[in-house]
Amino acid sequence: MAIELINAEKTYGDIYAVKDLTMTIPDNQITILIGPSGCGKTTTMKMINGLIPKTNGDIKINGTSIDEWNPIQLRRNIGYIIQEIGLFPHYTIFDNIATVPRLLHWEEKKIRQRVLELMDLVNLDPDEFLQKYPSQLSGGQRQRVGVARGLAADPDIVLMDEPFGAIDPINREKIQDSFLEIQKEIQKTIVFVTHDIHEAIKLGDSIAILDEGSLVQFDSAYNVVNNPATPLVEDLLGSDRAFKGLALLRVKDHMTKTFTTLTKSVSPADALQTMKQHDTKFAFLVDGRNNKLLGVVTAKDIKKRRADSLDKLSKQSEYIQPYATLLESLTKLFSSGFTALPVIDDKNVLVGVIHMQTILDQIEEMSILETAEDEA
Amino acid sequence: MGIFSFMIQNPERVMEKLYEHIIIFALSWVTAVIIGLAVSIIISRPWVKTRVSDAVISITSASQSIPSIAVIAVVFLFTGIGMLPAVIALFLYSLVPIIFNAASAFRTIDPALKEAGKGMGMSNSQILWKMEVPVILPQLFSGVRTAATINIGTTTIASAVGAGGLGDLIFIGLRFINTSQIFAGAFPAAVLAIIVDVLLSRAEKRITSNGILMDIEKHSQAV
Repeated sequence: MAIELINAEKTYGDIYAVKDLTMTIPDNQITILIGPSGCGKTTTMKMINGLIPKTNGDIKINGTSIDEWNPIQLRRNIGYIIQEIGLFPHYTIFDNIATVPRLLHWEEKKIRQRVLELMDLVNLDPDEFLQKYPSQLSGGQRQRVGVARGLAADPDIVLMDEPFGAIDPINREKIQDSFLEIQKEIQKTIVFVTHDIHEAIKLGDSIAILDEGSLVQFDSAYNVVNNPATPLVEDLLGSDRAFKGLALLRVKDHMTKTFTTLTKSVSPADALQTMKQHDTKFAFLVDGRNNKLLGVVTAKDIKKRRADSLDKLSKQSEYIQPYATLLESLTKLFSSGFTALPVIDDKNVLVGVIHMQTILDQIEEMSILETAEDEA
Repeated sequence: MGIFSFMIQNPERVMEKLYEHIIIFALSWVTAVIIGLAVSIIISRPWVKTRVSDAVISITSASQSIPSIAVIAVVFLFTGIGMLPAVIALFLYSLVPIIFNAASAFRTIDPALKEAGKGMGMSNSQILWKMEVPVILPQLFSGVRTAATINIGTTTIASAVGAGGLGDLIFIGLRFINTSQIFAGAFPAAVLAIIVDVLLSRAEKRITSNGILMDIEKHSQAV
């Protein structure tokens, strides 16, 4: 389902909103459209599903021009996700997610099954949420519903128009992480519009930078960060772009999978013994049945506060998700005061540990690369 | 007991006038609801210029201050006496709150909501009926309810142009300073207005989505 834009243009009178745009959007990846406001990123995206009709050129989806589609049918076959305010306030969460399947006249039984699947995918409890209305949910929860709604009819292509723009920074990081995990599972061809360069680097497999309606650079996120094509791209990346490189590296690729876990039933004395054997000063307390993270226990605490169970000794720990970046891990490490962070997946299961030293090594490696490049 | 004496002694006459009253109200109000909502829908479509709906909203907003008796008098000049001028005048007078509320409400819908619908592949009529109308139902009802209460009250004045209705009892009672006859006109009119409003309020609660009702509650608490 490749999307090809061939000399696509949109004009309003004499003004070009999008000018002679030719690009092939790769399948099963996230392609970011980014640029200063008025650069044509949103127009480009809306031309793909015909919300804004193109003036010249062609847009082909899987080899077929969008002109050959009925625009309504076309849109039902392309997922569309916008900010959380796009949820229908008069529909329950169930009805919101079921919107497109109902437009496509699916059987109610199949719809119900699909909605349950999607609630699981976006990690919302169906019993708690399906009968609620959007106004009863938090911004982050609503956005998850928005993602589920966009994916409901299982479209191959999904368009996302600044979907996380209205969410506060902390929750935005979380929902971005979850979204990457979801994408790993569903492998859709995603066109994602944003004005936030952090978001672009974090989520994009490739990044297209537009300015005044024209394509300035279209490359992998790594190449954009390391070889910005024009001063505009450099500006967009900011002066700390070397540091931003950390935002391209994911926790999952740098975490260690060797760590010490304990369950509630272990006595503090045994726990101390285990830590000594593993040559570590802390261990993670997990639920023995499903490996869900409960807290962190340190050797120091066990020695100091002679409590009779690990439960009482454990502390809440900061954590990070596998798809988070090293940059975010570093920030969290600083704020938590620990030298390592537990890595947990979307379902709270402990999957690894990321160490401060690993990140520092990465910075060193990258800054050497940077200097070498400058000299050359 | 005295105040009810006219009603007790002339139940048939009161019932007859009440019946006339209901007919005048129902004819003028139902037509106004249908035409008013239709006009509001048309002027809120994307292919109608904003200037048109601007004008309609300004006109209806200003018209709300025209006294009802003036409207009745003007229509009377063109159509003479009887039930017809009353129905026409009340129809026009009821249109005003209906169109004003509905046309304003269509504008309050977040464009992002409409675009979300369109982007998911809803047709224009699906956007209208499955999204816009359900979302603004409370405002639509507000206009329709205001129109009903005003209409029932104003129908009493329509008796001045020979329309009949409970106004007949009030005006004759006034002329003879017969309190119980005035009451026999005023009381059923008031009860009718209250019953109609309660029924409409129930209908509103029943057909409006809980999600929308909760939104309203939230906002009223915040204020």
